[in-house]
Amino acid sequence: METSQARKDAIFRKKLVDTFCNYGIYIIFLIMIIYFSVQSTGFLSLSNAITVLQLSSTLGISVVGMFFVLITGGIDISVASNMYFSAVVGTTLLNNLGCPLILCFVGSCLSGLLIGCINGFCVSRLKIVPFITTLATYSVAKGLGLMFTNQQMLFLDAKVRVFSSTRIFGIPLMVYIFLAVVILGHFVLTKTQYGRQLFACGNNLTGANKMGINGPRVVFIAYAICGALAGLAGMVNAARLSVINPNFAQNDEFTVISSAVIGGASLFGGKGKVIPGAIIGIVMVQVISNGLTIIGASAYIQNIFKGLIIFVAVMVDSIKNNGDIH
Amino acid sequence: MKKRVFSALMAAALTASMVFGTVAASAEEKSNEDITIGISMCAIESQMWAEYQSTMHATCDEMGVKYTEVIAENDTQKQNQQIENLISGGADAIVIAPADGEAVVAAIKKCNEAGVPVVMANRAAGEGAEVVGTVTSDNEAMVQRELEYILEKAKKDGTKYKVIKLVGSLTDANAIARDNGFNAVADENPDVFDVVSEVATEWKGELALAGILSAFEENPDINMIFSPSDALLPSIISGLQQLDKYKKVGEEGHVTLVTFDGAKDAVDAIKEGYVDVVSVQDATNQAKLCIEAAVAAVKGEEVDSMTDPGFEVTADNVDELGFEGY
Repeated sequence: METSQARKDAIFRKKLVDTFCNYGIYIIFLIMIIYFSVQSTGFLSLSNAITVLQLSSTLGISVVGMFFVLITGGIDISVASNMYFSAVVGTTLLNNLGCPLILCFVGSCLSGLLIGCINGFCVSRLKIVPFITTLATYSVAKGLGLMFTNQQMLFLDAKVRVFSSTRIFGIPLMVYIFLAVVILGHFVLTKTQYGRQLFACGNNLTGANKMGINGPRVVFIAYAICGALAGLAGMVNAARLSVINPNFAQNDEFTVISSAVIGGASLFGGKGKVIPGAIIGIVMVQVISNGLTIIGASAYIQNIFKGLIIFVAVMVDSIKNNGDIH
Repeated sequence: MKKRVFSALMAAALTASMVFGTVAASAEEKSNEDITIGISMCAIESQMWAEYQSTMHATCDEMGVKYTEVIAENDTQKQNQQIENLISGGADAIVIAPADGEAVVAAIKKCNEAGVPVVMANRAAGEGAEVVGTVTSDNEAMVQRELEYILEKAKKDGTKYKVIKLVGSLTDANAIARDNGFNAVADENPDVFDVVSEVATEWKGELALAGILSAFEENPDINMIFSPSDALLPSIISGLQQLDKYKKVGEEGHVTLVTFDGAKDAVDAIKEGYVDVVSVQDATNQAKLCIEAAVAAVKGEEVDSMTDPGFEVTADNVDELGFEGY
């Protein structure tokens, strides 16, 4: 009798942990939304929802790229420096060569792609640990950006305001770019052969290689995508700010990686759904800042909140990976 | 006997040459061209720091002293290592613009051990280390004065302000002092200043912009923004433009802008009528004083600390002052 009771308890406990792992983040998200809605009148409004999406757009683009790298079981900590460097490249095209805005975005994207390819080559062909590889490119990209700007603020040409103030059906242009990237990322991961190969490599690279998948090529492309999207994110960010400070995007790699993990990508590889993961992840991080600002919370509290949420997300990831709490 | 006399003479000659040689050498050390000043910068994240940097270079050139400069990109650990490198590189004195006055104490202690005089630029050092001089701004009083200027006007025309208060990096003593200065006046006059949002910017434009867009969601009638540095001004302007609230003084819907530093774009914005008041810290003079103090310290002269009282530029006095900003 007691044994069966103990078994029931164990099953109940497991169910509880499973529920927490699968829906915990959503529950916390819901509680946050309810709390902020009760505390303020402006939080739960269409206009604020659009603002949150707008704020999520820039880093959100990079989060989609991070999904690709995390699925391979790797990590890319160069994204923030990549954003900075690529934004500087795009801005140089805009300010010095007078290129049309669209070309600046393409230039920025290509610059990010280059950094991504270097990362991909080092990780997939030279077999250098992703953390070390991307740490090196982080440093080089930041250094190059600082060198080009002479470590000073770089103001964007006034025509960039067209981008930051353009709204279609009341929604800022950058939100459409973000959503397009999300849909494209989701399509590549779920509907293409490359997507299936990526998950196969993330789950078991040796096995995937044996099955005839060109593992190094798949991993290389993942880093290239991540780099290109970081480049795009950088220029979008610069365009909405209309200035690039030397501390531009500084530490944003943590926000990007943690948003991806909050959104369900695993640091252990092989898992991740861009829809809804990438949106939920970055939106949740932005909702914390947005909500706390709206209710007039102290500046100190925001960091504590963000830290707690990231902790819960990583804990859930770890439990899912190991099967239990250790 | 002859040998003894010879030895004694040799010894005397040797001693004399050593003594005079030393005197000659120390006299030589004191000449400007043989002095190397180490300059340790936190980061060039605003126009104020750019002015600081270029003036320090110019002053060194004018005085004929050599300089070695390192920039820490606001990384406290990196700055400590860079200062140690400056010591081992043979710097005769070091001017430190710390990313964090407390965190740099360890490196200053190393300077003390090595007998290298230290001058603090713009941010004071924490307890426990010896510096020969500190050149700072009277941050708290300066912000108080500019806020009192707004208060005086508000009392005349009966305006009540709903305020977004931007806060700089929470580890930066200057940011805290400016915040204290703001609170000192705002807390005393709650009928005039109602702080509805507090935004932790970490000196990053992205966070300032996000905070502003969020705060306006809850309180669309916000009519004042306090920025503790001109480095955040482009992001504030970008935010207000996106909200269609970037209006001149006197126009309906004008958001009163109170800022700090004295950058050229802030002064220009005052002339154009968009910004109400900026409290100017004289970066040019401060930087010059830092180098002069460092050279004086190498020569063994007495060095005094200096607090820059600053001054306010408003639409009322901008033409009269003739200050163009930096």
